[in-house]
Amino acid sequence: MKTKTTMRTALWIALTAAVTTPGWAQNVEDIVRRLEANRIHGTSRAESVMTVQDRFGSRESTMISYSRGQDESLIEFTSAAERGQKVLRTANEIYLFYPDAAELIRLQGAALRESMLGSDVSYEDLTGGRTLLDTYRVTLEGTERVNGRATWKVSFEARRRNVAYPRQTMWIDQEWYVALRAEQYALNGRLLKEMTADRVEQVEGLWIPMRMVISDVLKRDSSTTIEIRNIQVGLPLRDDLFSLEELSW
Amino acid sequence: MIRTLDLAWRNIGRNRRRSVLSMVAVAVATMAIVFLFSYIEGMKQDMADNLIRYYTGEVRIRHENYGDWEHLSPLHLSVAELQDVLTGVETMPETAAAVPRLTVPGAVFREDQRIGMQVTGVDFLREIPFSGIDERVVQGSLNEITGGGDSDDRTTPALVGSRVMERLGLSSGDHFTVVVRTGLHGTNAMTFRAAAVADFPVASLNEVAVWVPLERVQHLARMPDQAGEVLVQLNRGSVRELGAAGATAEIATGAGAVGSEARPLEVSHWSTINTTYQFMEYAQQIYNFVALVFFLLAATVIVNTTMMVIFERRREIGTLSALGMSQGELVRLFFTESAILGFFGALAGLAAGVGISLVVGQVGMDFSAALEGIDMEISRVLYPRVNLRSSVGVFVFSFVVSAFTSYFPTRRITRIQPIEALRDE
Repeated sequence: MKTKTTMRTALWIALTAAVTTPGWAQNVEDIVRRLEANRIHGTSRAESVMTVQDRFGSRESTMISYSRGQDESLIEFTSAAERGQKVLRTANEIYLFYPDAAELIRLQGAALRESMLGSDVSYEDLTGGRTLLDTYRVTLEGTERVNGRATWKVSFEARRRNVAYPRQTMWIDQEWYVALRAEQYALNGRLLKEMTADRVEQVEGLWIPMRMVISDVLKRDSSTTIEIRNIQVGLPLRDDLFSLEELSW
Repeated sequence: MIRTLDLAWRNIGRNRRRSVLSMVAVAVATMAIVFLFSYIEGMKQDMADNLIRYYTGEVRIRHENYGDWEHLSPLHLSVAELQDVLTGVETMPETAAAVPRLTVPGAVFREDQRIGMQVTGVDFLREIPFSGIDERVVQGSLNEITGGGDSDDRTTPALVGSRVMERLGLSSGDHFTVVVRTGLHGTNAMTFRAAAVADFPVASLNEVAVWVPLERVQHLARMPDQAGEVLVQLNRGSVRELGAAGATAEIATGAGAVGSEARPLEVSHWSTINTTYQFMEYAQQIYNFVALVFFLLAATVIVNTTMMVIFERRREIGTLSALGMSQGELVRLFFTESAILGFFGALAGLAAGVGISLVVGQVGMDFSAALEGIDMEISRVLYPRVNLRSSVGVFVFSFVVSAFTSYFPTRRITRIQPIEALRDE
């Protein structure tokens, strides 16, 4: 089972709906539980735009994403260049569907580090699995202001080695329980990725990051912005939506 | 002069073992250098042939900025309006043949492995006379591929490098899906069927090459009417008339890369493109130096044997001097001996070197294991090629060096007084 990452958390918060659990954090574990609770929900459907900026310019891809619970999600690209391409995440695996290919592609292992559509988001960032508290030891580093908002600065240190990001730091909004900023590091302490959520909106009682900027520090002059344009939560979804049969339909 | 030559022959015959040793030293050095130069010549010809067939053509046309970002495989920096460019190039009298190619980097995902591939869109009908790709097919046939298009099972027939088949564990007719980057910076994937297997001469190409009809790769990479490059073979007569640079300039005009509304294209003759071949040209100077070192080593053997001759023949030298042979005549005598030994040694070495080169040139030298994973435009099997000019040059050089190495020790003997030499025990 793949370990869950902060990028995944943030990304799926952005791409899907989340359910906020009311209450007030008592300690750092509570803060992280509240952060996690913000994204655990029944079902969601979101229409998003992903803008990838690199040294050659910028390009947009549009997508519709569906999610159910913690482990099931489906992204379908709708922009002309990628129309019909799909990414299915089940509990343990990621499958890619390309209309021009006669077979599904199952990603695992090192292949998960591939970039999704040349963006700063890797398929590894989408993988599901354990909760943050299962994967990381967490420490409250203090409080800081991000974009004028009060946040808890929380550091995450992986409990095991087979984790995409052995160390992370997140700045979690004290009111919304949304990570407004995150940094992911390699085992040797090298910064790998940065994420900021610069627009957070309340939808159906949930605080959802509607615009996120992700930057793979190893890719020079590159950043990816994911913006949710429309989101619905708690809607009925077909049972077979997240199946392999449906994927290649 | 005739007396000196007679004496020299007689002296050579008197001590055959010593003479043979000297000749063998010269012969071995000459043989080694002739073979080395034949090997290098074979390597250069092979590399030039591979470059022209598979990499650059004689003239390469591509986007003017591609070279700046080549390490990133910038697909968007392509040859646009491909049909117009091709038509323009093909109507030039300097053009013998032209082929468009579109190569996109990709990968096959197997278990948890990412296996790198290179999907190249080609016009097979143009490629057959250009690169002779049909001669490289070792399994299957190009007919199914040139028939073109999708088959019923949604797979695209492809020509696959033989090592690709091994790396993916495929048999002829099996299919595999490659995920590639597109010209729009996204990704796409297509399933190919190994309709034919080619044994590309270049190891690095054989490991990754998947050749597919151009229009399929244009669709896969979202690059309609585009190619990564257009490669041109020049008309021999035009090259003779205009020179390589002049013919290349004419091709640039045909491609529309010249003038106020020029397409953003770079048109280069292959000899000016930075490839391993250019490195080989530089390396040739190093090999020439290595050859010189070889000769100097052989010369030390000759000097040594000549010195031994001198010491062994002091009494004889003294006698000859006492009988009235001048110093100059003595020098000529020993020089003539060395020249004869050098001539026949070099001749024997030349014959052996050329003979070995010709035999190995037929059989070939297989470097498959050594070249595996190495990205050089060189074939796995190399065939030495005898270069007449360099071989004759090596012979002359070998002869001259070996003849003149006798000069200094010979001069030394002229300083020996006859009485001293005759007293010598």
